[in-house]
Amino acid sequence: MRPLNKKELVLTILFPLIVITIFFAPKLFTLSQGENIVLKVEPVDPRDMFRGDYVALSYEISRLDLDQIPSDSNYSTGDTIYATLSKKEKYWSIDSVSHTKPLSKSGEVRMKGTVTSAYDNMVIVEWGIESYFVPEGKGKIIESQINSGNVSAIVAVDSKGSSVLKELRINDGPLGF
Amino acid sequence: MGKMDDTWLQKEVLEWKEEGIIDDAQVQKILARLKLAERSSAELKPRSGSSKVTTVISILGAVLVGMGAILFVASNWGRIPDALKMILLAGTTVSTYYAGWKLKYERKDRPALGDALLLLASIFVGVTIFLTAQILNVNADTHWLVFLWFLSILPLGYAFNSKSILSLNIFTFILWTFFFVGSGDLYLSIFEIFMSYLLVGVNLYGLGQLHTRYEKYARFRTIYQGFGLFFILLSYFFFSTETLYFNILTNMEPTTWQVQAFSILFAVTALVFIISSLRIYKQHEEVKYEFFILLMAFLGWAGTNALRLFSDNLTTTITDEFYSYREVDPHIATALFVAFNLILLILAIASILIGYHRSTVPFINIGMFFFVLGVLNLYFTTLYGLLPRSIAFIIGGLVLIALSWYLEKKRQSLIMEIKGGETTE
Repeated sequence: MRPLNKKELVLTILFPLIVITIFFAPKLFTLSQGENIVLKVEPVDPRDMFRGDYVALSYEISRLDLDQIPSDSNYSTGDTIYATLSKKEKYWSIDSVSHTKPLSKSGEVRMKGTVTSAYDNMVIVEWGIESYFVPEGKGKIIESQINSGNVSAIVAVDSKGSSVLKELRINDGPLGF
Repeated sequence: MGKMDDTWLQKEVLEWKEEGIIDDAQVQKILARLKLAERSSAELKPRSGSSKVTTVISILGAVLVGMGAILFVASNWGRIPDALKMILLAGTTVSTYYAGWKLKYERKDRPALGDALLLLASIFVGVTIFLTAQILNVNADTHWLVFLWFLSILPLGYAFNSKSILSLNIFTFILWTFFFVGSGDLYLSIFEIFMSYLLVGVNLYGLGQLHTRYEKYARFRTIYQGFGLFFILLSYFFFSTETLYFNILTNMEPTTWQVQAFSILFAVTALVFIISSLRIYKQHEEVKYEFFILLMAFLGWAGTNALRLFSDNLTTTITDEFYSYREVDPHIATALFVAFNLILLILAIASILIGYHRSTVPFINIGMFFFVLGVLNLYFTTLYGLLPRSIAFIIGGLVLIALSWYLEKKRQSLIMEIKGGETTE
């Protein structure tokens, strides 16, 4: 086979970088342009094979009781779900959910998620912000703080409903590592 | 022809053999025709032993450094800011690619090291993906990150003419399927999982066979076929184990549309590869064993799939005190047991024969591994009595002895043919 010339070499080396950029661009867009909201966090501290220790997070908005929240129809596993959230005192919480993206109003954000389980009128939703990666061995510290209810999450949400977990805060301050 | 020409041609011929363009028998014929066959076997080796050791050591080094880089990212060392980590990693990836290309193609004095660096850079691509996902807190165990790695290095094996990058590429694809299946999104039964891997194996094997049509890509054939053989034999081994065939039909539950779409797509591509392989076989008879393996593996998959149509007729519903379940008719179960074991052993033997015929050691090893595994499974199986098993082993052994007699005869006739060619020159 003919070896690559320098121009082809540059294009070949750039290829993986371009593919990676294309895939992560929406997340970067959400992170830089999205509105920041604060969510109340509930506890857990496992390890990902390639990315190390992380804190598995659950939120108040992860479990929805559709008897309490206005919704459009029944939900089943795998469905896409949109939630409208607004700020209540400190934390943001859900006002309503729907299968389709609702119109946006000022003071509200829309978050897009996937239903991972649904029984009766209880729905479990994954929003894509359930993991927070931490330096090796630091997960337990956060976990104990979460158990005492002092941890909140800053989440960036863009106009399309995509969300990225920006940072975790303990007692409204940075984690410190 | 001068000695210089002889040596050059000899090396060329051996390179062609290594790249799968010609087989052992053709090498012997060409060398005999040119009166080069008497050269010692040491001279006939396309590459010296030390060169192979260099290749192996440099690739192992690259893999170790790559794994170290993945672990370093996983440790999430907080003393380096995220942005600096990204710049360092992207810079290292680009400069490693450049260094590898320079050594392999521009300076040409360290091709093995150059190839190892190209592999390392491709591992760094994966590390970059995992670092980015870590910084953006993309949910843990997200399977598409591995698929992104596969996609990012997809053309690089061909661009850099690198077998090791191609192997990494296939490895990342298989790894992604493991994570995808493991994520539980597809709700696959274990039967469906092995049916899918069988189809993946058939496709990889067929894709490898397709490479023999294109001279400049022929050297990649063994990589695809090696992976393909492994998954074909692994799947048939699963189907041949006695604990599962009782449930094989009852496990054929309707699957999701994604799995059905995947099966249809890969079945179509497998058919395309089979037709292509048939055309190659018609032009070059020596690839008949490859065609045979491909066809048999695919027909086994198609036949097992066809059993779904008769699932109700082949099973009986048994109602227990608390629940009811379906069980396969014992005669059907025995027939399936025999069929799957036969397919496994025939394909394992065919793999060994092709390995010898093509001088491809990995094919021999894969075939031998699954042959031994299959025989051990049969030996320790508790379904049948000792007498039927003893008869089965004796018959199987006699068949193999007869096969070895046939192969010995073929080898003798080939040697005679070569000698005859020399004397008539």
